[in-house]
Amino acid sequence: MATDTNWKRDLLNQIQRRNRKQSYPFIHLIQTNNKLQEIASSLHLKNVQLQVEIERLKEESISSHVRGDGVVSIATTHQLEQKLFKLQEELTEMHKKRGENAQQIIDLNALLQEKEKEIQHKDTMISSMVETNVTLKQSKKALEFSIAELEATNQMLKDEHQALQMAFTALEERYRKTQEDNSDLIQRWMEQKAKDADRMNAENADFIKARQQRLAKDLEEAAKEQVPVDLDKGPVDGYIPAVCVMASVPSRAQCVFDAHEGEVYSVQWNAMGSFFASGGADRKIKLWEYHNGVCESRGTLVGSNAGITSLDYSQDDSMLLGASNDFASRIWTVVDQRLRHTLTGHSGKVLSAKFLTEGKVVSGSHDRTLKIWDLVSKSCVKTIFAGSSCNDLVTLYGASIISGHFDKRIRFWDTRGPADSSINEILLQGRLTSLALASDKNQLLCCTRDDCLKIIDLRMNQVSCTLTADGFKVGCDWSRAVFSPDREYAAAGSGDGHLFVWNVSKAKVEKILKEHSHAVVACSWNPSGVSLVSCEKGKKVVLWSDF
Amino acid sequence: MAAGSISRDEFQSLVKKFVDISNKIDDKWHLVTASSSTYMLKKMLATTVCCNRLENISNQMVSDMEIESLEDVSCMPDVSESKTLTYEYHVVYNESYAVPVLYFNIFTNDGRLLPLDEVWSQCPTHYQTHLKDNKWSTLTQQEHPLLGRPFLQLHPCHTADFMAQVISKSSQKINYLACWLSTVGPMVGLNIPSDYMCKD
Amino acid sequence: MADDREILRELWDGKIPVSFQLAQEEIYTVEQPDPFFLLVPRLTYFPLVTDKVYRHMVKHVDPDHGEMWLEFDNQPLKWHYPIGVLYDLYGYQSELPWTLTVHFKNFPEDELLHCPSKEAVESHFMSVVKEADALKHRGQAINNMQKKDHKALWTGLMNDKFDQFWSVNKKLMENSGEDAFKSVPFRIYQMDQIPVQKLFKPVDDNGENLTLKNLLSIALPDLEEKGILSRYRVVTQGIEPPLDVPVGWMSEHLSYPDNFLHICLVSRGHSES
Repeated sequence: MATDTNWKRDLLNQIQRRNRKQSYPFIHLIQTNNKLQEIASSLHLKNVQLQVEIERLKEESISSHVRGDGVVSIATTHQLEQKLFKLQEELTEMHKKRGENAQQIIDLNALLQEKEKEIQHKDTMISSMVETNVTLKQSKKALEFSIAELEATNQMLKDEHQALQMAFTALEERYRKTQEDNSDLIQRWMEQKAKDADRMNAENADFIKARQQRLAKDLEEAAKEQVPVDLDKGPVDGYIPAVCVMASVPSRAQCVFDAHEGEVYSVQWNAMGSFFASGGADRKIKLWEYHNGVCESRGTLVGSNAGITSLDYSQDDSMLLGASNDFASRIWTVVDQRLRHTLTGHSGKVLSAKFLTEGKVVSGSHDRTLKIWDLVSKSCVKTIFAGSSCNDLVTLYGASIISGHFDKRIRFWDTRGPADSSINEILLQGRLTSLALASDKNQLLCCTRDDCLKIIDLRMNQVSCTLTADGFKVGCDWSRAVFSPDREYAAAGSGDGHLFVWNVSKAKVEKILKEHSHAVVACSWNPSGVSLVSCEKGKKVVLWSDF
Repeated sequence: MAAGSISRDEFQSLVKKFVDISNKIDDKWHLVTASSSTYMLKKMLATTVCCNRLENISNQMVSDMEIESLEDVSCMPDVSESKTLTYEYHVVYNESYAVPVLYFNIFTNDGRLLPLDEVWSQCPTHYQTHLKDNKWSTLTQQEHPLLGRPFLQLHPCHTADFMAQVISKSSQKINYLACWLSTVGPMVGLNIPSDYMCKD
Repeated sequence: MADDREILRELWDGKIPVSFQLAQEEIYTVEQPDPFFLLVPRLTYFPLVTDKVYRHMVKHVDPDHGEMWLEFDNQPLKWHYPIGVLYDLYGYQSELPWTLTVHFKNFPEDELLHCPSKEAVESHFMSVVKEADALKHRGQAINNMQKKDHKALWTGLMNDKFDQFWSVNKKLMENSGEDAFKSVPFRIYQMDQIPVQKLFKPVDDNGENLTLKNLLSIALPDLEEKGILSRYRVVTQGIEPPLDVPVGWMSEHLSYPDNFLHICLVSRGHSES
């Protein structure tokens, strides 16, 4: 094909050169010549006509001469002669013009030769251009080819990339599966560990049993010795926490009585469930025991200079912690009902105080700080600047503190870490009035001023359930809500004097108890789950049960 | 080779045979070789009437032929009424059409060529109607392919078709050249004696 | 194919400037007639373009004149050859314009055909086209055409209408499949010699395209021994095609309107002197 086009191009070039040489230079020339020739012939024709006219006029003049119009005819003749002269002049002019035309043709011929030379020069230029063109075309072809090659390589790389990506996805899938397997294995491992622990516990129990049996034997032997026994000391030493199998929802007021001379701010069962304490605006803490349908006073703890806002038993029920509006917290021993510690340092009323460990206490105050106290050194060991008034707080595992604040936030603190920053915050819709931990320490019950209870799942750090009810109004900034010991129920008092009990799993009101005539401030569920005690802004405390 | 056409070799042998017969009956055909090709040539004299021809021509031609074949020039009609013409016929092979072609010239006494329109008007009456519409595609002046000189030519483009028809209709083998010449010859004053037909 | 069409177009546009001069001995008037200039297409015939020349010259000759004829360098020009052939054969590389002598007397009867009218030219042209088609297609293509196609072919040439001419001529140039050329119509001219015309198939028995060189060696058997290629230029359409051009293609594209390839052998010595 290449040679084909070569000779075709050669032929075309030859033909074009032929035409440029043979015809194009002459087109104009010949056209001009033909035109001039036409003009010349028409002039010639005219000339002949004029000659004829002259002859005719001459004849006329002669004839008129003969006729005798001498003078006139002479004049006419003269005129005619002049005319003739003019015409002859014209004729000469024409001839001159023709000469000029001929000269023009010669000039044009010279011009033509010049043009021909120019054309030859152009021809050589064109042929060199054509050559350049050919080489450029070839190089273009080569470049195109290389582009195509590169494109092919690119495509190949893309394909490889895709294949690798697929392999990567597959590996990722495998990795995910392996992780699942891993977590499964860890779980199984944990279960195994738990079993081991159970077995260990059983062994311990056996060991203790054996020791008790031996002790019993010893006691029997000792009894044989008839030693007099002081019965009063038994309950104090033999501390056994109450165990709740299933909480029952109280249905009626078992016992209603005036506990304080004024508002009752706080009630709290001890861990055994045998006593409960109440604190009021009358600056007193009273201990009560329910017995045969009547609540009997078992003593009064005094020493506070203002109303008691919060109560907490130590883990072994030996100590009672009360927070007070007089900016201080105090600790009494239950057995001898004596004031043991007064923890002062806050610059606002203390709204809540809790045991952190046996030897440490944490208190939250209206002065927007939390303080940790050491009971051995009887001093504040840490001040946490929370940034907002603390309405309630709870403790976890002896180190973590959760505090509920006026600015609608719940803050989480780790006492081992730096004091100033919370490790976590949760923002709710209303300001916090109380916090309560469920017995498994996984759920946190919060009471807020927007008249609802929120249950926060601590493992998820988010609200898992919201409890509300028609008519439920949170009466004051320190209204307290509690879980039942089995976490099935939550109870809280309303500003209208009703006590609301919700079923947590269904998130519905289970029961509304009506007995109080004033806003219910606080309540406390007996650790065994059988009864509930609540207090109001009047003087009354009510003990509820379903029997 | 299409029907009705012949190859160069066939033409050569046909011409040779034809001339052989011509020699026997003294028909004046002879062979000429030019530019390495062979063709067949015949020259003859004939007298024709210049005016008042239309009806008489064919008869006149026949009588001319007789005169010619007898070589009896003295029997010519009155010179004032007629003129003597020299006819020169060439039968040449045409490779393009693969057929024989008849070229001829008619000369007047003074050696000039008879003009084409006179040749046309000399044609027999029954050809005239055909000529009227097709004279420019039937009989024209052409360059002789072997001599390069102007000759009148009977166009060869229908020869093959015509001969194909003749060959397909005749039961026995025919003399191709004689058959063709006897068909086209009379149009231009050439007569072919029947001797060529029988003595194949 | 655009190239091919461009070649056809350029060929069609080929023209030669001609200066017509009345033969001195035939001037009848006192006044010398001016030479007459024309730019004549290569592909046409002289009788189609010389009407004006006739009108211009006839004023200056004996009123009792004969048919007009042309002569170059003592060589009467045959009107039935395309003008391009005449120029390539006799005037190749002579000075332009090509100077021809116009005669009205002594018509060379034994050399030139009479041209009584344009009909004679048409008849001659059509008979050559017919012969060419007889060679190429056994006459099939031309016989399948209608009368008006024949007329269009002729008027296309006469009026210099390229598109009209080729709309018909392309059927005659059909060279594929069943319509492939049986033979290539060509004539080879040399000065003072009878033109050579022979049967020539454009493709050999193996289906290979035969070239111009093959054509020359078959048409002129004494090509080698006479050393023709060294002494003569091979000219057609005013150009010298390479000898390896396939003849089939040449026939399709370099033929004159009469469908013949007219190839002239022009003496090198002659042109150089």
